[in-house]
Amino acid sequence: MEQKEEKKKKELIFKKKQHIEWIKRFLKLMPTETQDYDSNRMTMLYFVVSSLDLLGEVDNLDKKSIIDFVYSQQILPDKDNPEKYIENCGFRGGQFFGRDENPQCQPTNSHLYDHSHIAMTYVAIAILTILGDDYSRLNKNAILTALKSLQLDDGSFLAINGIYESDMRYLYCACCISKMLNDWSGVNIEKATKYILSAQSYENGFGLLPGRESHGGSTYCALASLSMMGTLNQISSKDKVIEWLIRRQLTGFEGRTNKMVDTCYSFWIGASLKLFNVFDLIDFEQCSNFTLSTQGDYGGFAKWPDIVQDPLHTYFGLCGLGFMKKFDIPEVDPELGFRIKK
Amino acid sequence: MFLIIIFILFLIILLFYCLQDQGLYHPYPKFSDITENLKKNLNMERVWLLTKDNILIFSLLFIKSNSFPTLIYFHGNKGNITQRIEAIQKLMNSMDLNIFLVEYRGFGLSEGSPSEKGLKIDSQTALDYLLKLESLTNKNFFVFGRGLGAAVAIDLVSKNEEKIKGLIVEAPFTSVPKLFSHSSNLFRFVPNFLFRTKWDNSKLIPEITTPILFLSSSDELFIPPKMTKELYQSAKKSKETIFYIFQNEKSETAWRKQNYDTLIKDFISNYSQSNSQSDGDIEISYESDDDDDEFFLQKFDWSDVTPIPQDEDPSKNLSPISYSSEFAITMDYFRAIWKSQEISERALELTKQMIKLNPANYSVWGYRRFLLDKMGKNLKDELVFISDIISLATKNYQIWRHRRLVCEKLNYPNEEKAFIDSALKMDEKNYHAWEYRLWVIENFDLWDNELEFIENMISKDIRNNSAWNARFFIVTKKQTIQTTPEIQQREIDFCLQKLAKVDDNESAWNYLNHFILNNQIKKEKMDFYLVKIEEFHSKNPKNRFPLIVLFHIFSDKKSVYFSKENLLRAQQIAKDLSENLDQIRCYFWNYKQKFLAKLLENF
Repeated sequence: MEQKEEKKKKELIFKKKQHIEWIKRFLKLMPTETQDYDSNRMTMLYFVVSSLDLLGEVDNLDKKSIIDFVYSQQILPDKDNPEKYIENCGFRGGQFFGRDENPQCQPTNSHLYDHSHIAMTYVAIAILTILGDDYSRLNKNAILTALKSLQLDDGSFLAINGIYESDMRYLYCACCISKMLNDWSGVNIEKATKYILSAQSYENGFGLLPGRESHGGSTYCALASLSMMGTLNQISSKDKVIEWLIRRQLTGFEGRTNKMVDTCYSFWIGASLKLFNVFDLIDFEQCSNFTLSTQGDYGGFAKWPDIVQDPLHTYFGLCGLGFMKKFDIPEVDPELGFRIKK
Repeated sequence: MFLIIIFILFLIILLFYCLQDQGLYHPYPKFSDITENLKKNLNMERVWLLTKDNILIFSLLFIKSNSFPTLIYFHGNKGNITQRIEAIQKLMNSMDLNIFLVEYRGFGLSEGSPSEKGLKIDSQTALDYLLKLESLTNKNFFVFGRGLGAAVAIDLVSKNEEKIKGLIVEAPFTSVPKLFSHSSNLFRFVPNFLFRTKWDNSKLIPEITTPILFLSSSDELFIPPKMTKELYQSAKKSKETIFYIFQNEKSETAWRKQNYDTLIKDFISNYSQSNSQSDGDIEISYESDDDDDEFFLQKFDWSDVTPIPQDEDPSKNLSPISYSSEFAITMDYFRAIWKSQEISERALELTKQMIKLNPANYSVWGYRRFLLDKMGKNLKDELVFISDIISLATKNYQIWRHRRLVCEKLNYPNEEKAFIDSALKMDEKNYHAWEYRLWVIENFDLWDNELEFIENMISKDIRNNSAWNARFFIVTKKQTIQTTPEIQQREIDFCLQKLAKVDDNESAWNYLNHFILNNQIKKEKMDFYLVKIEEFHSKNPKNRFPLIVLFHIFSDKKSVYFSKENLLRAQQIAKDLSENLDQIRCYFWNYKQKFLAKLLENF
């Protein structure tokens, strides 16, 4: 009995130092099995940098080299003919296209297949914001022009120009980019709002696309987008959305009805509740205890207890704890998903 | 004077205790260049592994064929793994075997410094990597260790018996303290507890049930055959043990003998099981046809193409990835054809290989679609390709989107439901699979027979919320049609029927909740349903779900039961939920009570 109590007490300690060491690992040489990150390196970097920001370690980083890396992935308009392939502008997911390093964003020629990805553009600008960059090398005009070309007639957004896959996540990215750049010329708010509202299911959450199952991640993307666009009040059934969100709590949160709890939903669901100012209606103890039970002995958070930790669950686990004001972790902005310094 | 002697003795003991690891392990020389080896031998793959305590260790994976058994090889105390490449290759030349040559922390290129605890973590990391490697269809794993490596191997097998078919130990020792006392009388009097590093093999061997092959060399001085024999004799639980001494040999050179290979070969073939698969899991392994096994470089002539490398120098770059050489080479060539916008069979083959290596790379998929289009390829073959690789990554967005785009272009849905079913077999709630199914149904007007399929899925797992959502999609035709009272009644009856079996299924209650509040059903029937729901509560007073539905029936402005009296009932329900039945949401139900209080003010 005593052993169980002790184990429980052990689990409830926040292993801050270990988390910092564990996350910093991802800035050094990474093991072979991470080669799947090749095309999504920017998102991984975002989780790392933003986690370190929440843990108060960001000033200890080599900010310049990170910022240079990010800018090197910016796709610029063609230097001879700026209109050519302008829809490709934004940020790449990594350096896998093989272009020469260009951290100063000197004029270059563009290439048909050197295209950006909307999610990478979002996290790239987010990283720059977190590191206090002044956006001086950012080509806002190109980014917003490209953004505009990604919106479809039904209001949803593509991730990549010419590749017809669109869903709630990309709409969210478009809104984040617009908010960060403080310019909504790339988004038709009316159409986007209509699209989002059409994706509310009979369970009152939002699916990834209209008609799809209510899901924590897509619900967050839907609500945060509406909030950023200033159209959150167009939801007629706000109370029902709140109820669906609140009912996802079992100990931690699940992402869909009758699924298992998963650390990252403490952010997706938590931030959604923050947008409605009802976050305090959840049970803090149960949620934070669950998150802490997924900690690795050497740092990081995982989806569930006793499985391998990863940057995504680490980041969202920290965000969830921050919302609950635990362990001096600051709160992230519920719309953008990272900490905005005043 | 006496005190000084005691103090010096104490210091010596302290140093002995603390610096044991530094003295014990001999990781020199640290490095030998293997670039030439790598260039010549594409079967030798560099794999960097990250241990659970954040140490990056180096290893070399030699794959002769994914259908052969694999041997994890733990080397002796001196030097690094590159010095064992010759021995490895000799073994592989004489039998059907793959070898995973692992470098301990602090040795060779691996980070960190060696310790007993650390080496044990390293070996487990290596085994875990192999277990996760889906390309290895043969799950017969063996472990080999020489000297220090034997201790590592013994420990690993003792913790993973079900996963390892056989253990081969060459010159294993009983324990470090015993080894020290054997090598020098000085250590005979040092008590055991001062040895932080024990490697107590004599304790582990008697408990191991795995078959063990013990190898020893007659002229071995440091770890004498006597010690190995002692271990062999203590291995009473092992299914079978074999003991062999190489005459006139030392363990450093015994591997050169002909019969060395034969012994190992026989041992491995005796204990390899055919169709050895992991228990329990639905294992749908990736089926590659013979054609695919040929590397793209060998399939076509690439002499006119200059591959474009990506600089991953750790000193210059952020988060460099230690790509396998297969990955790096494939991407190097992909970059080249991408830049030149080449349209050809070999370019298409290249995208296929790259997709298998990294299905998340959206750009490769995009380029493949461009090629399929420009080359006028038969997209039905593409459907086959996607079906083949779906088991690689069933939760990968790109594979599903690619399927949809190809299907759309073909305008041919006949194989889609079967494809979706193959994914659902692996996970019945796979969001992508259901999402795609709904698209297929809507896009091709395949509404018929869907309800039957969904009922089937619900009877397999009554809590499958994706199936319930799909039902709603079908019944309302993605909310484009207005359901009739007959359909609404039918749906409510369906819920009640399912709830009679499992009364706390939130999926069914959510579904019911919608139709109960959105219908044109006659009041008498609604009264009947109300009674039915209340019955659920009285039968199982601990079940919060019927109460939640009643709460909505009584407090929703659209409801036919909205009245002052019912608002009070709803308040009572909220109180009950907050205090008893749904305590985790007590703040929420209190908030609801206050909200109702406001509504009541208007009456």
